[in-house]
Amino acid sequence: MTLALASPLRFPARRLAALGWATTVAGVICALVVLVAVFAPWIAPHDPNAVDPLNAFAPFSAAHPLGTDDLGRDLLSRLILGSRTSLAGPLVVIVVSGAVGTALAVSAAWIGGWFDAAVSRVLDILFAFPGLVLAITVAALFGAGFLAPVVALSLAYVPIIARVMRAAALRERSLPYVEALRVQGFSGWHICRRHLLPNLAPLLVVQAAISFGYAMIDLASISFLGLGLQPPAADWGLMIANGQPSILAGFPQQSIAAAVAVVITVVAFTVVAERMAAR
Amino acid sequence: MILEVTDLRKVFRGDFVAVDGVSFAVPVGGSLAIVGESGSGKTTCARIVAGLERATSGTIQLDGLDVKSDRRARARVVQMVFQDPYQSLDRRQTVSACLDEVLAFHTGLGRAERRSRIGELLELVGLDQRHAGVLPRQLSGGQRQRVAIARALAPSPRLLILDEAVAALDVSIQAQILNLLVDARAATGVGYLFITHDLSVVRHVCDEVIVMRRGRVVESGAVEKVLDAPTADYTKKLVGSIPRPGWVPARGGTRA
Ligand SMILES: Nc1ncnc2c1ncn2[C@@H]1O[C@H](COP(=O)(O)OP(=O)(O)O)[C@@H](O)[C@H]1O
Ligand SMILES: [Mg+2]
Repeated sequence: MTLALASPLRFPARRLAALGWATTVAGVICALVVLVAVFAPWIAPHDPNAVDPLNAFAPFSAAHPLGTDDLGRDLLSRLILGSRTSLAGPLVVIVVSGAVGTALAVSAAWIGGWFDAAVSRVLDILFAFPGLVLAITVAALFGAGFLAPVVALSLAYVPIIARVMRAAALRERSLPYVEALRVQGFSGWHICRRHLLPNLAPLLVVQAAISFGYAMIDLASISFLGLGLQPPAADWGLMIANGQPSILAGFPQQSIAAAVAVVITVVAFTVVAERMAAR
Repeated sequence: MILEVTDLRKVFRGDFVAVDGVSFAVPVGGSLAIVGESGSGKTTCARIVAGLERATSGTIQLDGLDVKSDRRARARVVQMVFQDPYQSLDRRQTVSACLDEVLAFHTGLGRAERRSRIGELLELVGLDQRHAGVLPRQLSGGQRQRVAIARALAPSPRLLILDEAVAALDVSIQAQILNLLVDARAATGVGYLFITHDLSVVRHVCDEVIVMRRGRVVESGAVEKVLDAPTADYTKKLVGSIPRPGWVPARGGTRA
């Protein structure tokens, strides 16, 4: 199950969220990670793909703060550049699944009847599919890379978002103001677009932020399994995987640095999301 | 007649008869009360007239309009104010945005004209420009119900349905809203279908009354006649339960 993979993170994140300073720290980390991703090429001290075999497995130094990997590439630069795909993947997943899931949820809640029953049934079936397994299958079928796992994971996240949003849309729809708008003569389309959606938006943002962390772990797992981005791309999941042989050689920096980046980012996003959800 | 309902029936879930052959009419600019205990079918009648529910049988004529015609046209004839002032407004919409949305939809007015019309509507319901920019949660129950009335009057309907529109309000606020309704009818010539389980508020606002019990009309006539000299036993019982002067309302949650 997609969520089961990340669920151990939920509880520490929840407890941390009770602390105000934790939320602030998490928020700052989220902002920093996003800034690093946006300005990555300008921040990175070296060309992340510049191979220097004579300088392989260099230890920490001023020139290479995190050292170098088995090909002598600067690890810090690779970590910085890797933030781009590592954030872009989950971002696409939550935008696509958020849009599709919300559209399905609101139309199902609004139209009701057989349509709602049909949508709910399809969502249940999709929900029963572990998202990670689905993504791995799709990547295996359509080839590894950025797109296939991201599209598959987006699909897998649709029922997660849609379930929550449908319940909320049903609640919203039953509020008297919706009937007042109907008596005013407004169309269902107008009411959904101008009233239901704006009222559901805060919940959607929270759901998307929570899903972001899960999607990041799922995509890192896919990269780790070799079904995501391919070398020489810099990507955190891929770096964890590529660092494995080096661990045996006594140089665990690459895997550790990338894993720490994933964990810190996921925890930071989840803490902020849980904090928003609590309000 | 602005509204003529003939032999209205509503059967829920195949066997529960909520409204059983009810007929009534509201003259142009008139005011008809529907009274009766809770569960007597009043709200169901209101919802059918407002187009929120479909009648099982019977006819409804609204200003000669075919009730099957489009909802926008219907909305310009009949509007409704709901019982719950706390949830009948979109919580994210300011008062002026709420009124502007309705005016833009129902009138051909430009932006500036709508602004001044919003001012007029607020004044009509006893609010002013200070309330224009605020969200519902910043208003009291009585003020919210005023906004709901302004919104309902915005398309200049010929008939306003008020379903227990003051029931959720504190007694002193009830009186203010009832006065406002009397004034608004005089100012706009709108007719009322005033639904209440509380007979004590009928005399102030209505000309005619029908008394419903278990989906049927048990008595009808001018308000004075029915309240002062009820003929049906059920009406006598209802009239007998109207609180006398000096009765202290036992209500909590006072909000002005
Ligand atoms: N949607 C519905 N489905 C089934 N029964 C309903 C529905 N709406 C109302 N009723 C029933 O119809 C009867 C009349 O209800 P209502 O018109 O709300 O009465 P009132 O407004 O006079 O209190 C009640 O017994 C109520 O339970
Ligand atoms: Mg009722």
